[in-house]
Parts: sequence; C-alpha cells; structure tokens
Amino acid sequence: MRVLHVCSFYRPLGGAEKLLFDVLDLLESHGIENAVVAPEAQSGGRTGRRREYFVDYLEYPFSRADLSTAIRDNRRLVRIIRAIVDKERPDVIHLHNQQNPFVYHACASAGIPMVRNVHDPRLYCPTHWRLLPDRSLCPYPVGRACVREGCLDWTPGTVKHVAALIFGRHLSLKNTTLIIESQESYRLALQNGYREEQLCLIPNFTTLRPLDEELAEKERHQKPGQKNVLFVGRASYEKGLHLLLRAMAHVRSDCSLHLLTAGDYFERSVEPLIRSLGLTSRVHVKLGTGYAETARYYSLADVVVVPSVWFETFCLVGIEAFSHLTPVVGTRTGGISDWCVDGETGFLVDLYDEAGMGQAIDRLLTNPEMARQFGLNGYRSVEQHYTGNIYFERLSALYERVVANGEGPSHRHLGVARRAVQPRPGVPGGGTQAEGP
Amino acid sequence: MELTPSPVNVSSGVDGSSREVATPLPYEPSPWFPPADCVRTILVLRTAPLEQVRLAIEELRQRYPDVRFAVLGTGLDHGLFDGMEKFAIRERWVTPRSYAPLRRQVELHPFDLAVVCLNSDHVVGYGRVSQVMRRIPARVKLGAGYTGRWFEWGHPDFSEVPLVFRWAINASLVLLYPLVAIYLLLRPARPVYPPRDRWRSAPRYEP
Repeated sequence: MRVLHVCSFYRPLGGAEKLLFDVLDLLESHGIENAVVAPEAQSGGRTGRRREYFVDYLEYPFSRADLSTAIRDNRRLVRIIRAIVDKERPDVIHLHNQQNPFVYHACASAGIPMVRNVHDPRLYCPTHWRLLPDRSLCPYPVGRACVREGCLDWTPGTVKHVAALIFGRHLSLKNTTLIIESQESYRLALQNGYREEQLCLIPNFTTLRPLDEELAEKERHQKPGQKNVLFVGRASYEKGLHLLLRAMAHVRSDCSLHLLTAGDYFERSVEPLIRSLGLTSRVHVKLGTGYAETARYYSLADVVVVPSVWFETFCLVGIEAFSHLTPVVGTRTGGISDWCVDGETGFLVDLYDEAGMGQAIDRLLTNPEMARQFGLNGYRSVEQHYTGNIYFERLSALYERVVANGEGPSHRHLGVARRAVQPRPGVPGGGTQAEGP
Repeated sequence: MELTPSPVNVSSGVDGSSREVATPLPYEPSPWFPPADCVRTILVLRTAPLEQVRLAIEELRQRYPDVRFAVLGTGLDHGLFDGMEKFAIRERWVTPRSYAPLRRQVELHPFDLAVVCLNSDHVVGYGRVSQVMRRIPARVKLGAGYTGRWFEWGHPDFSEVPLVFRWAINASLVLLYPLVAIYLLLRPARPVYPPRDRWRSAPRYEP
C-alpha cells in the first residue's frame, strides 16, 4: 500500500509532529510505502527515509497579506499537489495537522480516499482552542454562538481565516474519515455536524521499552531525597501553566518543578508569574528540549502534571510518562480522562482547582510506594492500549476500509470526475473498525 | 517547489527512541529534466545576473554534454555565450514587445528545452518574461532559481495580477464579511457540549 502524507510541520515540534514521525516509522516498518508533502519553511530538512516533497505556502491559506497574491499562491499550490498525487498515485492520502483548505481541495479532486487526523478543534472553531473570550471552555458548536459570544474580532485577517475554516469544514464533511484521538473529541465532532460513520477513534501511541530496562533507567536517574515534578508542553494559555504554578503553592513537599517548554508566551506571561509567585528557586525551565532529552526527564520525574484548561484532544505526554513508569496528575478535561484513571494511574482534578492539584501532587510525592504502583499501572495500560502494534492494527484497518469501500471524497460539489476505486481482493469489504465511545 | 523526491536512504527500521528526524541532507537539484537522449537543443533566457546564468548553463552542460545551446536576452556579448546561437533583445528588458521582432526567428527553431533563469527563488517581477516564455516553442520548459532550485515552468505561477484587478480582488474581501456572518448566523448554537453541569468559569489567570 502507498500512503501520501500531507503535513504542515515536518520537524520535531510538539506532540502532533512526534506522532507523525512515529506513524511514518511504524508504517514503514510494516512495509507500507510512504511519501510526504510538507512546507519547506516548516521542515527541518530531508530525512532520506522516504520520498519527501517540499512545497511553499502549504501551511495556511492566507499567510500572505495580499488576497490576490494568496489566491495566486493557492492556485499554484493546488496544481503542485495534484501533480504530486498524479506522480505518486497513492492508495490513501493521510492529512496531518493540515489547516489549508486548498490543500484539502487539491487532494479531494484526485478522488483518492482521504483520512485526516484531528489534533485540535480547528476544524470547527474560529479561535482554534474552543475557549470563550473569558477563557472558559466553549460548549457551543461553530455557528451563531461564535458571533454572540464575541469570539470574532471581524478584522480582515479573522474574516479570511473563518472563510477558510468554512471551506475546509465543508470539504471535510464530504466523505473524509477523521481520525479522532479521544472520546471527548469524538463527541465534539458529532456536535459539529460530522457523521458517526466518518469518525474513527484511534488513540495515540508511544514506543515502549521492556519493563526491566525502564525500571533500571528510573533507578539510574532518580536520586534519593530529591523530588521532581515535570511539565512537558508548549508555553501557552490552554496548556495550563498558570494553573500548575499556582498549584505549586499548595505543594508542601520539598520538590523541584521542571518545565520543558517553548514559545514566546513563556517570556511574556509565565516567567513573570514564576517571579511574582516566588517560585524562582523551585522552578527549572528548559526551552526547546528534544524528544530524547525529554525521555530522560520522564524517568527523572516522580510525577508528571498535565494541567490543560482546554478540550485536550489526547495529550501524548500522559502516555509517554506512563511508558517511563511515572504517574500523572491531570485535569478532568478532553482526552486526559481517557488514559488517566483516577486513583489507579494518577489523579484527576477538576478544571482550575489549584488546591486540588497541589494536594494530588503532594500525595504522590509523599507516598513513593503509591507513585511507583501508579507508574506501573500506567505502564501496563500503555502496554494494553497504546502501543505501536495496536495503533498499526487500527490504522491499517482504517486504510483498508477506506480503500475497499472507495471512500474517496464526493466531487459533485467540485465538478470534478471521481476516479473509481476498485475493492482489492482479500480486503474485508465493509464493517467499521471504529471504536465508538 | 520541487516535484522530484529525494532518494530513499537505507532504512534503519523502527527507531522510536532516536528522533533524528530532521537531519538536513544536501540539496539535490534533480527535478524534471527530460532524459538526455530527448534533448538536442536548449534555449536559455538570460533573465538573471550572469553568474546565475553561468551556474544554470553548467548544470545543463553536465546533463546534456552534446546539446546545441541558444540564448535569448540582453547583454549577450560575453564569453559565456560563445558558440551559442544568440537572440539578442535590443531593448532594456525582455518583454513580449521587445521579443516580438525575434519571434519569427525563434519559431524557426523549435527547442527541446527552454530554461528561464530567475534572480531569486520567487517569481515576483517575472510576469512579462513568463509571457515571453509562453510564446517560445519548446517541448519542456523549466525555471532555474537563485539557490540552484530547478522547477517546472508554469505561466500561472508567474502571472502577476494587474493593479486594477488586484485592487478589485482585495476590495472584494468586503463581500466575505456578509457571507461569513450569514453562514455563522444561520447555523444553530445547539446542541451544547459538555452539558451545563460541567460548565465552569475560568479564573482570570492573565491580567
């Protein structure tokens, strides 16, 4: 099978990109042939592991201010993408974290089955993170509430952005299968008009080393008498760094807080808060940490905190922590409750509950035996639900299903003839592989 | 814009722990060149500084050693173009108007490959050159960029929107306002999710 992956970022950046590279490696190890299309400006260079095409202006439809230039660039982009699709003739097109509807349109016009990862609510939220202007969770579908709640500032940039969202949503509603990572995301997609049969719940995965190796690694990194709390994620409001820092005031144990983060939001907002809360001696910040270095921190940590204050679509950090035998304290929101079982693999606290979060961290720091057991439980849960093999089974079943069913996009609305996709011998014809919530 | 993929190195298998995913490899200019046995004549448009044109010609000579070259443009009195058939533009710029007197002559020699040399990797400012390129009879047409990037020429990439149209298109942005507003207002604000008992107001974390 040949799969053409289209992504907006082709360099180590965050969880979505880590998943992308892991998925590519995973598919190739199972004999699936990959090709990648990525924007040159957002790629770290050629990897040489697969066929790679670098195309300009792929990420956003209106990255250039002038509308006529943007239209010209996007027309050109559509032509290039079509040429690549014609050249590669993939069985499936897999869109990752791709926000440009013109790319979607170009892929759709090829009539090849498409699947798309949903890493965030940008398909159905003009503010990206589904937060209302007062930063509380938005309960509304895309529609008149966006106007009523004041989510749009009606600048030309916003209007172009919303127009792109509407175009992208319209295209994605037409027979594209969305890969949904958590049950909460599944419900949000349903709320926003996506049909159940076009949603496929495939939770993320992480690589898992043998237990004895992980135990030895943990022992090697952890020092007696030193307690470490870890946060991994971008410095931005929705990731909840403010909540975590305030929760630290409720942590009685002597411990260090390590923040592995990146982004100018850190300097703008988080750093002043660390100073104003008097946490400078307790907090250690590392900006722009690579994946390998992050893995070392997971082993070092006694507890990993996921303080997100938005509908977290999955949060890979949680299962990565489990794979390094580290328990998690997380907020009860989005996909976090899918993998974090309260009182078994960590603790779940209510949104914005600073005291509750501090106490949960404290409980794990003061009770090493409980932390060890939670970490072990987490490792077992990854082993049972979130390994590469399980992910591959689900993803390959989805690929086979969309190819066998010819679930290419419908093009009547585009006026483009659709290429018939013939069922392949030996491939099960129907039956959804999706696991509904 | 490169449509030829890089060669695939020997795979090291699944390596989830090592994240050497972004090791830059040297650039390989190997895109849409036609096979050597299909190319006998090449026309180069001298529409970039001499040094860049020289790099492009060197690349072409390497790929097509026995080919016959022709060059079109201004400032052709240079050793680089010795032995080439010259179509000298008498005016300052290569435009459809300055090309018009040469058109008949060029059409007498259909080329296998035509190459437009660019002063950058962007196509801005090459709209009229592209109009000339469109009139040139050649089976394959390529562009040679500033950084050594080669790409397939396509007129829509170069066509610059005339100022009036550009103004009109940008002004049409105002039409998006009512369209976006109508779309959003016609869509319902129900159902809500999560249910009301899970709603909580966010504290003011930021000033």
